[in-house]
Amino acid sequence: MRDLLPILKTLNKNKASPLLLILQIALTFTILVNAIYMMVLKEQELVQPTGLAESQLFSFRTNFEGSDEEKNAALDTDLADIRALASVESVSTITSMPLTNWGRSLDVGLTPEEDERITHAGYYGSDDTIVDTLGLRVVAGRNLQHNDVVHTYFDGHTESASVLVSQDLAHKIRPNDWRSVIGETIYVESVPQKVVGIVETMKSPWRFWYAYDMTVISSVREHYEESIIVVKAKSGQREVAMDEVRALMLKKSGRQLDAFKSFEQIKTENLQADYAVSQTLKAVIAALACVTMLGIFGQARYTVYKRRKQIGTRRALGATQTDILRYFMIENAVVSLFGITLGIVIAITANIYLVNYFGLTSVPGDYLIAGAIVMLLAGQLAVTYPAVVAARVPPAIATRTA
Amino acid sequence: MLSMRHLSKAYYTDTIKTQALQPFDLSIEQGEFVAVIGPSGSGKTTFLNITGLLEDFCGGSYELDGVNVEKLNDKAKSKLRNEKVGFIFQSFNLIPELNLYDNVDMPLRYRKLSSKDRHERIMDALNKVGLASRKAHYPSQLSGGQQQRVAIARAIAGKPSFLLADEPTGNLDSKMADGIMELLKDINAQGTSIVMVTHDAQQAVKAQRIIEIRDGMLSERKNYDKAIA
Repeated sequence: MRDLLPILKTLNKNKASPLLLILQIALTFTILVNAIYMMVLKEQELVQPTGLAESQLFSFRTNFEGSDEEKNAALDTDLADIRALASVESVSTITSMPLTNWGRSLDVGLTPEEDERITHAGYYGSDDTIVDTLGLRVVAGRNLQHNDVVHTYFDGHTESASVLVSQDLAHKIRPNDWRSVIGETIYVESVPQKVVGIVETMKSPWRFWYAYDMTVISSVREHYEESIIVVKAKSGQREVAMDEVRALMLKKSGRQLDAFKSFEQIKTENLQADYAVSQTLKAVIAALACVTMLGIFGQARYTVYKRRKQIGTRRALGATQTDILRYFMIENAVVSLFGITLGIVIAITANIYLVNYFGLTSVPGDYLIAGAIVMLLAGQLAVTYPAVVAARVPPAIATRTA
Repeated sequence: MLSMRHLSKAYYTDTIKTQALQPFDLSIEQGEFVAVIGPSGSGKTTFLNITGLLEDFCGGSYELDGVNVEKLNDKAKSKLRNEKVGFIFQSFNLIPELNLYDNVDMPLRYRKLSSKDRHERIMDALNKVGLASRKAHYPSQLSGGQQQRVAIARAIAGKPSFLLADEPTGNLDSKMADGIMELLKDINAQGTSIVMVTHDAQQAVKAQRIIEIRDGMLSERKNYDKAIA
């Protein structure tokens, strides 16, 4: 560390260019740490489980005609026909599917008063088969039963019935004892509903929504002109099941099938934009890191070039090649540390502002520490080649004039 | 102290060999003040660089204080330069960002010396050149003559076997040049050998011995006459 003091004195005497580099490193550090954190959050969101048996599911919309009873009977026939296929494990009708950006969002509270609402939640109407079909897990209370099921043409949420809630919703209603929600009457859009069970995970149709994790699954089955049917194929047989179900449905006269998609397709379409954002972020992060490393590299190259004579003099006066190499490495580390320190200050200040005014989550300390280490190493990497060039400056240059 | 036998130096490019120094023998004893003269391009700087271990030679042998320098690696050569040779350059080669004290300290930092020892050597050297009171000043605040004095302080602080001066007065007016020569003679009088490369005959005659290099040929000049200047 015998070089440290002279390096600090030299930097202090000649502030302008190291100061610019310090600023660049500081800003890069702040942006990098925040961008990486955003990217990680985004990636976590992308791989977040939906709680469904994703690899076995597919769904579609189909049309029904005739009177109320005729439509209900036709739906029953469809479900029975599909269930009879060898490749199908289970089938249900449901009012919408998670991640499709289409469905009902309703107020949830413990009283019918609208202004005492606790939260919003996604609403699904189905029957006693839905837990099996979607592959949900009941973690408290009981599943829906056949005699819970109520049939209605449309707007099933206006009917009182037995419901399941997602664990996140139960937790929102009773933060201290989420299991105690079982047996309670909750008011969904001011209509009383009896909670009979809690499912571990069930998501709303809208991923960007604050109440994405909070859902109500009601035992009110609807038989609207256009109903959604969701099928769970036997494990590994989804392709076959999709072909068989399509063929079966198209044999029925006047039938149209719409949005016939595997759940992965639904998910991919939903995530596409975010996936693109995440990839863009990655590219921006990489480009920014490169620009800063190039900046350090360029600055070091220039400094070495400018100080050739001085380096030669040092060599003539007894510095070994290692001494010269070390000098430039330490100089870079000092500049990087100043930059990183300033960057941490900026990051924390910016974070307080972002958290207070925009409700964003603050970047955890781990990221700052990891970012500091990465920036320091990147700086050392960028300065290595110029430092090697400096070490190779021949001492004889000291005696050549100018 | 310094003994060169059949030493020669040639530079090679792809097709041409340039003989910079013809083989020569030279010995310099402890306490001598030797001037090396010759026109530009004669090989003076090459001689200086080889003597100061800044450049390798091609043939012959070179012993410095009993050490054969031919086979030394970079680290050993750097150490030898640091401990045995005190360099004085034509354009001073001070580090502009460091004050006088730190400039004199620079070569000492490449040795294992205690900070107290270093401090004593620095102050002693600055006292000898008469600039101790300005130790916190920067090179840009000094005249050329004063800067060269700092460079001399830097050279003698390491207590080298000899000073190797490359045109030490070349960038100075005659009054300042005389002052520097007086200082060098004082240092020499106290026992430090000096090898000074110069093309200034007036300064060269102040040395005990004069070696002339002409077209790469070294020759000793006894009774150097001023007519050459």
